[in-house]
Amino acid sequence: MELIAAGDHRAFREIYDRYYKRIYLYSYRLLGDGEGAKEVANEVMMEVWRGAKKFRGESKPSTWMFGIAVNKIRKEIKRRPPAHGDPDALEKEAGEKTMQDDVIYHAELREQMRRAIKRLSREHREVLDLTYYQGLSIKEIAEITGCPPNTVKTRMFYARKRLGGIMEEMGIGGEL
Amino acid sequence: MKQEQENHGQCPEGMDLLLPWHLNHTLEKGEEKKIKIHLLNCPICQQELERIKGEQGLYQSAAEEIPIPQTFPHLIAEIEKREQGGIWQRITSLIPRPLPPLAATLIAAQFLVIIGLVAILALNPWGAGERFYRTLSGPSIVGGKGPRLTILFQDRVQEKAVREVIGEINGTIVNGPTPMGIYTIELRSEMKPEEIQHVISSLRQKRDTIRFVEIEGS
Repeated sequence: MELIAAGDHRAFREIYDRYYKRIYLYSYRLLGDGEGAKEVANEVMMEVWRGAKKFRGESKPSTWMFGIAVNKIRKEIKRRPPAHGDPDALEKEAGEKTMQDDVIYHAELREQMRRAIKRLSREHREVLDLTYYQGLSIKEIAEITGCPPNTVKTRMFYARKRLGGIMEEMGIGGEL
Repeated sequence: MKQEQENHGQCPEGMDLLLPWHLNHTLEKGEEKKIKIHLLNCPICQQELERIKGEQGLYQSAAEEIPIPQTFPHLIAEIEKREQGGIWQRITSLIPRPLPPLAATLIAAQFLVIIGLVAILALNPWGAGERFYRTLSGPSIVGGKGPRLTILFQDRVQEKAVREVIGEINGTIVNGPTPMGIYTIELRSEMKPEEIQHVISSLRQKRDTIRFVEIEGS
């Protein structure tokens, strides 16, 4: 971070390589579109470049960056008009497809999972992603989301419960 | 599946809440040790852990398929563009767009205050600055119409003695001391010429205090 603060592009590239993908995917799963995710991930990286001087190392760089991303995603979600359409229609359509072999079957399963994730609330997606994909600790997630650690634990519990419910509705609950 | 759902989250010790973090190896040492021991004897948590493993695996594989855009060259170009921009561009780049309503209101209020202050200074409705003050050593002084004496005191005379002399003749210092130590003293306007002469004579007798005394302009 000190090198970035001094204007070192190589150091910035290292941070970019290490975190851009994680932040992009995280933003993608929360926002549900590539353009929004790209914008958020780019803004986070710009913020890292501009704000590296302010980074005091009290938390991990990942915690700091995800904290920025969480705030930007929350703003973006607030700014957007509420989504319309029947989410169940997609699942019904998907359910009608015939699974011919394992490859198709697993691809279908992953697609169902993506659809199920989209139906979760922002809070539930946040905690699931930060735990399952980003591999962060309870303490780090609490810092990033601004919640007490016990809230993180119970939120994860309810997020999983909701995800299980959706997947069962979609007919794939038993696959887990 | 139904049985699993019923059991879900029903570990009597509430340890199932920690399982996702046991799986991603981020629990603190004490908690990790506790859950490992607990897992040996809790079938609910054992079952739940397997379920979480499947859920996490599917979650991660679903995420991996999203293509990642390569934006680093664009980011660097944007950074360089901003860095090459003038100071004004740098400042404006710090302002969030769109501007939050509260910030916009505050800026507008500040702008109005500045305009108001400039208007007050220009119009000067209370006449501020029109009154003026002069020091005794100033080049000229506003005085009355009484006769004036020019007095030079002895070098070692203290201020107290100067004031006593001036008090005796009911005079007022209207100018001085000049760099040479000369005072201009104004007498009462109703004094007659012979009274003025008398004052001058009495002052001239105070040789230990006064070196020189003369009526102004003589």
